[in-house]
Amino acid sequence: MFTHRLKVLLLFIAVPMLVIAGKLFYLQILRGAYYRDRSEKNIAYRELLDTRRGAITDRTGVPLAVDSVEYEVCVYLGRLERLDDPRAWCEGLATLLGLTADDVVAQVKSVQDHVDDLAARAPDWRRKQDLQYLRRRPQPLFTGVPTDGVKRLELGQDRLPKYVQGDHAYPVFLIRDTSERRYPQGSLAAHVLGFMGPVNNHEYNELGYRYSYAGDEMKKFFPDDLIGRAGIEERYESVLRGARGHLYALRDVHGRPLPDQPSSRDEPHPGQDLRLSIDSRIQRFAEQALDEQIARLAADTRAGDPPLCGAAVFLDPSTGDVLAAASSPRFDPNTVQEDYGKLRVDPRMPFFPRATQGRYPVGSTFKIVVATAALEEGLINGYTEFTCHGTFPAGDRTLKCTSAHGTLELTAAIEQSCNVYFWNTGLIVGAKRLKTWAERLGLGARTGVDLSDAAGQVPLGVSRGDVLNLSIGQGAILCTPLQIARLAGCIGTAGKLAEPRFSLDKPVRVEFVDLHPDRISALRRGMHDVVEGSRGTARNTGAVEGLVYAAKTGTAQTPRADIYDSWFAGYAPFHSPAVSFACIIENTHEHGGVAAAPVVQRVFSRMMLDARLSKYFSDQEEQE
Amino acid sequence: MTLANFVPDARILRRIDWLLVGSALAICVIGIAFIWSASIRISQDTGDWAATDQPLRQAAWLGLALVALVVVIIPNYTWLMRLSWPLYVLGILLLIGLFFVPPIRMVHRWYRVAGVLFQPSEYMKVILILALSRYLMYRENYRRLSGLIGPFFLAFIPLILVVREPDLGTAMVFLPVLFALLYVAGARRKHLIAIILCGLALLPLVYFFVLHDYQRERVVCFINPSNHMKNMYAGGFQVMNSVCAVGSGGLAGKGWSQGPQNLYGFIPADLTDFIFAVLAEEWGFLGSILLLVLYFIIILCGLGIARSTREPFGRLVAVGVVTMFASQVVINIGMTIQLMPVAGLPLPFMSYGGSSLLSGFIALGLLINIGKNRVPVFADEDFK
Repeated sequence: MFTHRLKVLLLFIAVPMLVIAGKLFYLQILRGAYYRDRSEKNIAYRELLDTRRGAITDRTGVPLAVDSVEYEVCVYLGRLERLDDPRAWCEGLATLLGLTADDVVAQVKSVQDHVDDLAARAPDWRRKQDLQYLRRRPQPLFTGVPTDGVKRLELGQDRLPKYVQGDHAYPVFLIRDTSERRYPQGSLAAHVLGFMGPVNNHEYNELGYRYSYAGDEMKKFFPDDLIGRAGIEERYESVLRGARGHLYALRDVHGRPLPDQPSSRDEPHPGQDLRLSIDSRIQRFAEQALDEQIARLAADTRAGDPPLCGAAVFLDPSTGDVLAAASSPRFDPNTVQEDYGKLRVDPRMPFFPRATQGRYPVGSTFKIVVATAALEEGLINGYTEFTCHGTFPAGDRTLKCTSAHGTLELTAAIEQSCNVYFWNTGLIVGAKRLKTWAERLGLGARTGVDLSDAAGQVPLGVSRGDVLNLSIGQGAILCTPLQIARLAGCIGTAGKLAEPRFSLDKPVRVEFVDLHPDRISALRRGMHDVVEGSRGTARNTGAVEGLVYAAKTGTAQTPRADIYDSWFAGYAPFHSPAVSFACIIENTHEHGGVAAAPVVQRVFSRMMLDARLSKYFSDQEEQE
Repeated sequence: MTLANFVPDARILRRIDWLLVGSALAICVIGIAFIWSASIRISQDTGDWAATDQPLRQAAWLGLALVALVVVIIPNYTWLMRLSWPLYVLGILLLIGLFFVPPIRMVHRWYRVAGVLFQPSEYMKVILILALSRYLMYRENYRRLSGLIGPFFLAFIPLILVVREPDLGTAMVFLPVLFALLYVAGARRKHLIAIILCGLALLPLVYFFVLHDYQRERVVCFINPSNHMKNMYAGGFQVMNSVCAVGSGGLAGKGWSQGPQNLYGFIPADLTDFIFAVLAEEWGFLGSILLLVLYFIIILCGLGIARSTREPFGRLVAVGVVTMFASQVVINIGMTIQLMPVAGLPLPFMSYGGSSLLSGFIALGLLINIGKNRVPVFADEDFK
């Protein structure tokens, strides 16, 4: 019996040992490759090296968006509390940072409270461990520490007490880089620049930004990363975004680097700086003029009026450089995260980039297109006359002109913005040719600018009424300020239709519309007279001392009878256009000459007074 | 006890089971080699790799253990029969005394004697074997159900004390030893089955009233390994890394002192409880199996000695020692490769630690001592 029971006992020992051998076979032979791979990953240590986002400057180098250099001093609470004399450490830190010891002690206390508070939110079974974890992690103590403070801290860190465990001495604090995107000019060109926001789930997962961005694995996103959310920041994300670097090393289980182990670095590549076509000074003038004008017009508004908004675009017509693209109201990209809730529900829609995306009825400004079409097609010439009695029959209705202008040639019709003249002309040109010429001059299609812009629309009039409407820019036609500024530039340069650009890196692309300066000279003279002529619609509000320029006003009707979208578009100087522009004031009671022209007038006046900016106008003349 | 008991006899050498001694010594040598490997760290003084003095200390302990081995082998083991009860009382007193000295590393597991740690529970395992064997050598003690109450008291008093130290791993060895001795001594099968069923019924009580929080967490973690976050805190991280080290060893291993999991500190308690993971990483499947074979040789030799010993005390002690070694090996390696919940206990002859090595060699000495006194058995059943 004893021997039998010994055999059973042997069985009880041998079977578990066989099971062990079996599991060893499974782990080491069958799954050996998997675990070998995992063990290598255990040791390989990869540290990300942060990089900087490219700066955005205006065409003269004025910084518009930069990464600020700021640091954060963090504290290891667990280590601090195990020091013999935590107070001494606080005093030492205070000296290095130029604070009082009480400040530091109070700050440490608040960090402790914060950590306790965080841990208290954890589920029961994890609370203790969470607290331990948080106390082992560096917790931010002081944020926004400038570079010199950090340098003092780094140099003086040996004077601070350290936490000693075994034969290691660990520092109690940690310096972290907390650089941020800053917009030093505040809200200047906010709609052009855009702003940054955290990458969202869709981009991160579905679009695969977690693996790579713009084909570059080093540009991939991490969950807290910011991504350009609008404007240039969004459009040129792949250019501005820097590639992180890597530090590859072997580390032990505590994350300490190992001696005589190969380590290699992939240096981070900062994002490319971007120089914009924007001239920050013109941009500022434009924004100020627009804001001032809107403020002035606001005095006349009545309760229940839709909000006054506006936009102004200034272009270099021969290159397409956008010198200024102002929209009002604006936002401050520095504080957009905090203000977002408020801005989002603002009925004036401060986020809406009106200069490039606002689609407006153009009103009389469209007469430029009608005149160009008629002249170029040879349907009228500068001496063609129509007589305005103040009304125009259209079927069973009678259309009204602004006044009875009498018998006019084209130049005077433009100058005084006579509707009757253009109704007649529009009927001669016809729906098809109107549409063709509008499109040829860049309306109804996206301009190709390097920001998202709207296409607007050019309708094909089917009835006589449609044609009449279109002839004075009413009805279904919608254009953006950018399109109109470009159109004006095309007239001024007699055919240069440049693709607008915000980045100076974007190649200049100019299309040539077949316009002959002689054929459209009557139109140009008319636009000249709008500002300079005795009866011009902007004669009192547009004229700038020392600058001769051409423009056309426009006053588009909106669904409400007494509310207009008022335009002022043209080019300057008259003889050698260097700047073309379009300005719109939404929802005003005034017509284009009163509402919009003063904005441009003020911008040009200030440009003329500015030594550098006045050369925009004079240089061109010297060249001629 | 006569003087003759203590006089060395040259013939003794011929009667020693050299295969048994050789296997144990081989394991010890392998053990010191891997303690060396496991102790290699980056020195903070020179910033270079260096082993500590731990392998040397273990070698010193091995020397001491060999002396103990000789001392235990030389006299006839039967005199220990008389010492069983006093030793048992002494062992219990030492275990109780632990709670009256300041804890070392936050547990009541060691006495510090002249700078050296002394772990009574390691010796208690051997003492318990002696005491149980002493009790069970008489037939009337194990054939009746009431006679089985004694051994349970003998085993459970030290077991509960050791669990409260806390040292679940060592305590876990007591139960297989108890049951193996009861079974082999000849307890009725139905009694044993009834006891095991009772034991299973009592498990919840043990779980809720005897175990510490962290021990409960480890059991939960073993039963439900899917709760990863929780497992990180309950030893799951240790086991994950230890399994990774074992698996990455592959067939032939990465070479002695070449295993990165070991060198970079990813194996927890790599000198003591998880030394097997170091060996498995660096010597691979072949080395692991070699070690298992060596242990199996010790077990077979021990059971052979038990089989050929007629004297009831001796054969029970032999069975007890074999069961102790076997259960330690199974529990230790089982936990290293995630076959069992994590419970710290040393791998016999391998793990760093003086008490474990010393008690291991004392137990080995008992086995050899019993073996040297055996006589050839002509009929298995002649002592029923």
